[in-house]
Amino acid sequence: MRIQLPLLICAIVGIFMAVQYFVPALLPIYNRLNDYLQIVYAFSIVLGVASVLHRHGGKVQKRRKDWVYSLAAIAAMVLMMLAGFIEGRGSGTLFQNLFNAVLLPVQATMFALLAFYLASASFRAFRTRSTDATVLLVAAVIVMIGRLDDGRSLAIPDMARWILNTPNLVAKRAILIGVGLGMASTALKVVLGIERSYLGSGKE
Amino acid sequence: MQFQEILRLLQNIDRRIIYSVLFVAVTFPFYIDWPPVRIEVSREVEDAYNVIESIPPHSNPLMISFDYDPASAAELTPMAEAVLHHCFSRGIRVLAISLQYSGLGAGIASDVVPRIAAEYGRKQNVDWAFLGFQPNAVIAMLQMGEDFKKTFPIDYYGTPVNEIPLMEPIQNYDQIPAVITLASTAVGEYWAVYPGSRYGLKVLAGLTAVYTADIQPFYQSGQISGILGGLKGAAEYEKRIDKIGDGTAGMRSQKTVHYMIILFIVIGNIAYLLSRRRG
Repeated sequence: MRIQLPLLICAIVGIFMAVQYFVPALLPIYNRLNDYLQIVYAFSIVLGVASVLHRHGGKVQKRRKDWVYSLAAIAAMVLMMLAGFIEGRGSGTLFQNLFNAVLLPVQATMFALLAFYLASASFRAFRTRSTDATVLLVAAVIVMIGRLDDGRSLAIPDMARWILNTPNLVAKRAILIGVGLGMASTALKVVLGIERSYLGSGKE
Repeated sequence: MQFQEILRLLQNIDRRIIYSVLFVAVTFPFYIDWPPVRIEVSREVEDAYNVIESIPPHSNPLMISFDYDPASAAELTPMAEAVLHHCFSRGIRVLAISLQYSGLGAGIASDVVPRIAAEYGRKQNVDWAFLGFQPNAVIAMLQMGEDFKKTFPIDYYGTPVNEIPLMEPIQNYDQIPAVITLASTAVGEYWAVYPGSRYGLKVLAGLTAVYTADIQPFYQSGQISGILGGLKGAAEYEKRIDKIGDGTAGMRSQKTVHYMIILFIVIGNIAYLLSRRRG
């Protein structure tokens, strides 16, 4: 029963979600199912917060290695929560100021470091060691210049556009179609009860 | 120093030198307004502009979904600002939401939208509203197709949506002329796949440059009506609305960095080819 019941629910809901797309009369049930999904998703956030507290709280309690960072993580989470609950989230509030002055620059800085790694990696990787590597190198340089709208006399922006809209798009489309077919077949396997790994062990 | 030794050094330039040169290349253009950049408005941006331009002033709002976090703000906030300038200068109403999974997009929207609205004296809940954030993007997209008020019963500031005048005529996507998603993840694609195909909503996409290549097939197939791609897309939109902002300023920095990277690649390759020729 522990296996059969979830399989049955999954099959009924899966088949219903496919059928409702073509039957407008089923709309109220479809809306109700969407409401349930939102509620389930909201629980996952509660679970996430509990998980963070459990993991980092345990680390602080037992004074494990780098426990100070865990303490900082918990303190930051609690501070943001309190700021939001007490004063609200409008312009000029502590919550908004913490977001703008701390979180925003920190995240932006982390991502900005990528440019430096990228430059260093490009310098080392883009070498004309083979024909393939040379094609890659030339394409990269054309796209980099083309994205700046420079080199018009040499039609470089047009070439960049062609690279992005033709060979690039062909590859992307192929991947998209492959992913789409893979998703459809996996969904079918889940609905029919062939794929059961979501139940845990994957074995009955 | 032997010539071979110089070639070896040029092939293995210390990363600290690369980082330092890049740092200068990134920062200086912001202070000296150099080098000049030439911005040509692409077809994708022109299409996006035309969709927004066709929305009648003081009618149902353009929906803007802030589906990005601060890591992508350098590319996408100039885009958001340019679109908001366009809307508010013409009296087009704006309905902002965020479906970025961690909620950080909501923090950005709550800063950007009121700031630009204030420049034009636009009133909250009349000319613009910000409904806040929903964590599960796909479910929220599907729910809004049936009933906005169910997905967002209160706005970001705690006002019941029923009390917001801007929301009075809006039940679902049928009353929304278009949506523009500002995204750095697959959420941009979901807008085309779910509200676009199921509910016939007109979808525009403002994306990071990296993600623009992924979304191009949807533009070619007509599932997305216009694209603003990366910082260049923001700069092009700024040019189109004739209001220069951070997008154009950022393109100067991008230009020096691109050429700096190309220069390093060329140096590395010349040294590599010469050293190979000399055995």
